Amino acid sequence: MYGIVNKAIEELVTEKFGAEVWNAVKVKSGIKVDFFLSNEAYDDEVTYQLANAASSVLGVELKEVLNLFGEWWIMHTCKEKYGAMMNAGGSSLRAFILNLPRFHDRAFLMYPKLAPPEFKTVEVSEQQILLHYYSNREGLQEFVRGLLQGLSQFFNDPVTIEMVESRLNNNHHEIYKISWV
Amino acid sequence: MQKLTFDINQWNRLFPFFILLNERMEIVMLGKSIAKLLTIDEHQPFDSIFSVKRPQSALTSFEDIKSMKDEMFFLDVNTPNKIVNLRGQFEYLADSNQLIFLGSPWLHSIDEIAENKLLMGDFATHDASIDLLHVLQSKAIAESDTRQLIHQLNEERNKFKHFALITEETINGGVITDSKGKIIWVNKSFEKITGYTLNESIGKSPGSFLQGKDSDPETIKYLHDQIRDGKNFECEIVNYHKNGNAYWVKITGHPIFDELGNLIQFFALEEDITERKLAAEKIKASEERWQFALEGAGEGVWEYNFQTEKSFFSPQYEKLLGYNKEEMNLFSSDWKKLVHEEDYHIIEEYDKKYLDGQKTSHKKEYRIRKKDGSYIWVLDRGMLMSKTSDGKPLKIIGTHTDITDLKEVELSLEQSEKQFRSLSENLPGVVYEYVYPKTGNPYFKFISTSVEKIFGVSADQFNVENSLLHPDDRERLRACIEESGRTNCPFYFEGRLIIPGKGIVWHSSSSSFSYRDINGASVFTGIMLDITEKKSAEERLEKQREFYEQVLNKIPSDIAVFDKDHRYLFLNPVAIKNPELRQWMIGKKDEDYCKYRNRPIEIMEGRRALFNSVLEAKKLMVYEETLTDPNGNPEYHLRNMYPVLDANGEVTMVIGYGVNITDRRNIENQMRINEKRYRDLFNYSQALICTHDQNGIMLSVNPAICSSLGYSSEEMVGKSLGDFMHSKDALNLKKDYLDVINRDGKGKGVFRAMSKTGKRLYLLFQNYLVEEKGVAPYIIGFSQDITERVQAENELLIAKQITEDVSKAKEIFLANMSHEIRTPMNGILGIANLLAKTQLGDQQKDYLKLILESANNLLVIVNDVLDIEKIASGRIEFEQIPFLFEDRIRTSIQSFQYKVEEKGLLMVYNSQLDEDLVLIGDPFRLSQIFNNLLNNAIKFTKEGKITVEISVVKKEGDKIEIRFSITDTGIGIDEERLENVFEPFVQASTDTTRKFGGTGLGLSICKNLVEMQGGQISVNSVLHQGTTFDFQLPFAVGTKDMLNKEDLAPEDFSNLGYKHILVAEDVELNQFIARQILETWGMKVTVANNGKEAVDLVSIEHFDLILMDIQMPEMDGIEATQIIRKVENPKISQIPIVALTANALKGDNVRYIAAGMNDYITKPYTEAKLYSVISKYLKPDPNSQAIKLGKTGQTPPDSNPKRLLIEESDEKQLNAGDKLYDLSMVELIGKGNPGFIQKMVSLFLEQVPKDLEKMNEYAGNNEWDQVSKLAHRMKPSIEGMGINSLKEPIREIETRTRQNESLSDAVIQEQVHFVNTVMEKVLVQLNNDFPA
Repeated sequence: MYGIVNKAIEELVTEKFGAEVWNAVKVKSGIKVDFFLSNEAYDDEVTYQLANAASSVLGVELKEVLNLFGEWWIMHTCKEKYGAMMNAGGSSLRAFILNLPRFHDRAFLMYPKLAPPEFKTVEVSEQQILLHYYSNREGLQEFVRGLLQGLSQFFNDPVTIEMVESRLNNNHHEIYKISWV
Repeated sequence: MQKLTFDINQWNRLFPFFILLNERMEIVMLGKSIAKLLTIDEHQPFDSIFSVKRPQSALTSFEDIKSMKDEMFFLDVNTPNKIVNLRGQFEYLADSNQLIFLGSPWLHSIDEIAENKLLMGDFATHDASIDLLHVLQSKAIAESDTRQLIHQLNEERNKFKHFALITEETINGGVITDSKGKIIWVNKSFEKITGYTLNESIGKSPGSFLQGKDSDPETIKYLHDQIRDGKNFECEIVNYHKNGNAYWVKITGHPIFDELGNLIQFFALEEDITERKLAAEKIKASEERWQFALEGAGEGVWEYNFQTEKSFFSPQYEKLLGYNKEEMNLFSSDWKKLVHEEDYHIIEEYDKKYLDGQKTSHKKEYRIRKKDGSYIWVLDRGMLMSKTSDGKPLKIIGTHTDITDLKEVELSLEQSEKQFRSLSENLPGVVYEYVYPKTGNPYFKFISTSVEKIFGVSADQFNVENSLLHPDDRERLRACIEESGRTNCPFYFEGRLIIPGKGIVWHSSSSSFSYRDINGASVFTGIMLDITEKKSAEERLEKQREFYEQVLNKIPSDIAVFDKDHRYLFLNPVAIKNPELRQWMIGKKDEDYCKYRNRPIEIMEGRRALFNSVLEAKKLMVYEETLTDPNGNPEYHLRNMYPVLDANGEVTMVIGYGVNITDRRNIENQMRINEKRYRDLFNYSQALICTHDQNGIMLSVNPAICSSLGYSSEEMVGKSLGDFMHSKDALNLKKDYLDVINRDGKGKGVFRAMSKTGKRLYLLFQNYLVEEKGVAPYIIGFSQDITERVQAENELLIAKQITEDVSKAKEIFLANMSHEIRTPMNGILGIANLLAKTQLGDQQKDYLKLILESANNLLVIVNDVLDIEKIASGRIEFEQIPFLFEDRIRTSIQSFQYKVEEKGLLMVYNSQLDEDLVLIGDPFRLSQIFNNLLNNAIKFTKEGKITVEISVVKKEGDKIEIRFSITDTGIGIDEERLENVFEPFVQASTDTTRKFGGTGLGLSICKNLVEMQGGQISVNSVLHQGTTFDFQLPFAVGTKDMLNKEDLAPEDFSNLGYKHILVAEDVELNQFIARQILETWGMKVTVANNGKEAVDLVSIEHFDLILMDIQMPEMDGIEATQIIRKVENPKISQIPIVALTANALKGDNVRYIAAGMNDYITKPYTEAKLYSVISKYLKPDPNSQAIKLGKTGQTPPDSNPKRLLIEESDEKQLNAGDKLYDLSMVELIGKGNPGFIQKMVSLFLEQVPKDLEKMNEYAGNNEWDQVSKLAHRMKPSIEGMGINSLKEPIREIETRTRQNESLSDAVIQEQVHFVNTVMEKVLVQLNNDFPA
């Protein structure tokens, strides 16, 4: 993962729980990197270790950490650093989600060291979209859910998000059902 | 060449920013995305919006551009917002002769996409321009990262620099080693202290090149261990400079750990402490020298360090306590253990003072334990030798000197002194030494301090010669002192001291010669005592002796005390009056007295003999002497002598005393005479007198009793009173007589006594209980034989009974007459009315009119006769109820209106009273009087007018007196008859009856009714001109609020509409009444026979209201209400519940409301009363109007139900006559419906016999509780049926039996009997009046 991801975790923990907790998370993770460079690629393991350490130090389940991180990623990292890009991604939540596959396709080339996930959308109805998520990374299902929640907040457009299929249930990939009430 | 063509959609997907131009350079079409940036008109010229920015050489004609095939074009687009750059190229489309621009916007940042309202989807998928922007953004982020990183690095570097500077510049040597202890850095001070440079030091372990022969191996090991274990260390050690010189350093070191807790380095500071060390050593050497000097002086030397809390002892010290060095060392840490526990506090105190800085030296004595366990006293002297740098004491040094011998002598002396002091202080006297010097005045040498305790003065005050001594005693004392001084004889003196604030104190002083002092003076040692108490005890004894002597002298008996030889020891003045003679007699014998008085010795012989016999018998002896007084009358004396014995039972003296009993003897004689007189009275009295005990057992009887009853005294005494009484009276002897007299102390009455021959005597008795102290109480009885009187009275009673029976017969006759006449008369009237409706001739009409008038007259006569009978027997009762006065009067007048009009008369009515005036009184009787007078006025007036005037006579507070005046212009009454017009059976003229009809009772009744209500009536008349009747009646003034609320009831009760009412009631009659009323109102009624049924029903059906009887079998109304109120469903629990109760006792309503009921109605009730209560809880139904209209349609147009009812009620009351029942209420409820009344009566006839049977049964078994319940049940029926004579009795039965009042059964039985009697009559009447 690029450093921007780890940096976002650092910002999330520091902002929400304080610098001391972040130090504890870092010590717990055993990661000896003092400064994450956004455009530097780090081993995926670094990110996993940080997430696991945060779960342990904060005493919450990993999936909650990931979920929270997903929201943070949209509402802080993307909003602050790629605000214009977010705006260009679509004028509504629905448009943005439908644009997600292309968004990631572009990222694929731009970050050669990144193995970005791949998305596919199916418009079931005006009230529902199925989002297919393909990734060779394990265990980021809740991160994706958090991202979607973050987007919902970003566009101030409430939706319900349900993971209807998952590799955890021996499916090929994850499918999220996004519904407008 | 193959041609590749795209349709518009494809162009839009591939080049969404394309621009299509025709040969006139007009814009033909725009790609979908560029169209978002601007709007164009048809055939808008290209150059009006676009300008070619590059190539600058470009010409803007179609042909020019057409020719520039491979050129890159930069276009500026003038959008409404801003200028957008486009980058791309032109291509000529030959088929259409058009130019097409293919390119995309050239943006400088991602932000511009949004600024131009573009989205990512507006760019062709292959278009990388947007990715370029993304890259730019990433680059910007990376730059921001770099800036942040540099900032952070700078901050840390500055921090480190700061730290390094401090470390470098500190005066202490600074060393950093790796985790193994190898030096990696040293500071300048380190180089200076050790002489080794940084480079020389790096890689070495400090111990290896700094320590040498004088470095303490223990310390080196400590350092090694701490470093090995990664711990802090602090120590002082000798190190060596590079030049070989030794120096002292204090080393303080800390391990340094990384974030994961791994040891990475040590950091240590080294302080050069050489100078301080040298100074300490110098002090130590000086102390040692000083100690050596002290040791030489033979004293144990010690030293104590406050910091280490350790002590050091010199060899001499060890010797002092008998320990060797090793043993003594054991005490070095806890030397204080050796100190005697009682003295421990001494050293604690001075230690504290040293520590607080209050002391720098000390000198104390205390005990220390030696090795053999004994204690020696030591003198401990010490002083502070050194202090710590912060001024705290560090070391004291001192010596211990053995002072045991000295101490023992000191203690022994102290002990002796203490003993002496204690002795002299605790003696109950003052010890003193008194010195008689060879020359000069004697003086006190010593006075013990107890003088203060005993006499309350100090020794000094005492020493001032004679100053405290009472002036009267001084001379005596002086003589005593002089005597002892001269003779050396022991000295004793008692005298008074005057002690300030205390007054006179007696003291004794005794001393004797003790020794001669060095000056040759005699020293007397003595003791002084406070003898005040002794002195006052002596005084008290003397007073007591005088007191007893006085007592003896005052006793009115002659008292003499003798010794065993019969010599006088004491005589009181009664024995011998002359005091001189009395004094002379002491020690003398009777014989001496006889000689002295020159009396014959024989007089005393009797006394002498008695004295001797007392000596012999050693007990009290009594004898009587008869003397003669100076007048020659006999005097009786009772003499007593008794011995006083000592401990051995021997006589020590004899006390003799005599009493003059002459008076007593005389009284006894008188009493004997009296007693005889009383006995004669008892024996010869004609009254029957006896006494008996509290149980009625005869104690004595006089001869009169014996004579009357024919028994002897012996036959009667010891027997019970009851044995001589009539057997029926004897049965109640205890209850009616003995209990009464024992309780009240007296009793009177009549009982029947039986003579021995069986004759019955009536005895009127009046007996008293006699209670005297010491005698059992008894009763004294006086009786009189009243047999003859009783017989006479009985004859009278029989005569009275006969009279009463006759009167009763009259009453019954009248009642029957009333009934017997009225019944056929009703028939006649009914038939006559029917006849009137048929076709009649004039003569027939006249006859018929005559029949009607006669019949009506006859009815009036009957009613008048009955009223006069009631008045005569005093059975009339008057109501006290509020009523609307004006209403009542007007009604009366109106009822006569037709008669007045029929006769062509004028009716004038004037009233001064308010129309709204409410009075309290009897409205029915008022109407009766008023109607009677009005009727007379009309009857006796042929032409002219009738004037009715009503005025107020007086009004005080709420009392008002009203005058009624009825004047006619009729025939008048002549003067002669006017006087008797109010007499019964009198009429104005003898032919009145003939002419006008009537009984002549009307005016008599009016007069009686007026006067019985406290009013007066009068008449004025002029024959042939007219008559005026005036009557005045007093009333109380009431208020409208007092009027029965029923008056406020609406005319139509059906306005509440259709409601479902549950009637919980066990008595069928009452069920019927409620159902009758409610159903008439258009309501649905369901009946529950008890509380349980009611509870069950409410859960099944909906009810708007429950009428709940209180007393019901199985479950009473209160319990049922409580259950309903607890039901969860509010539709049930909130049903209004109204109690139906025959209880009208105070407080009952509170009980019902407390049980959850909303209201209550007392039975029997009227329709209006029921309405007024339940309408509070039922909302009127607006839809009920139809029903109302339907009903009113059936009612006569001008009928006023209220008015009608009252008038009917009046009628009934007037006609009720001797009926024992009154169906007004039933008629009111049933609205005159004959079916209803018939039903009510038949229910009553059915129920009552059953009730009576039960009541008799319960009463017979004394089951009063049951009687009470039954009476409660019967009460509403009795009231509803108007059986007025039973209203009170039935209430009384109910409440008395319920409250369990202490009524004798007989009273209740009597009431029950009365109810039976009346009810039977009522049943007969009803059966007659309402034949089935």
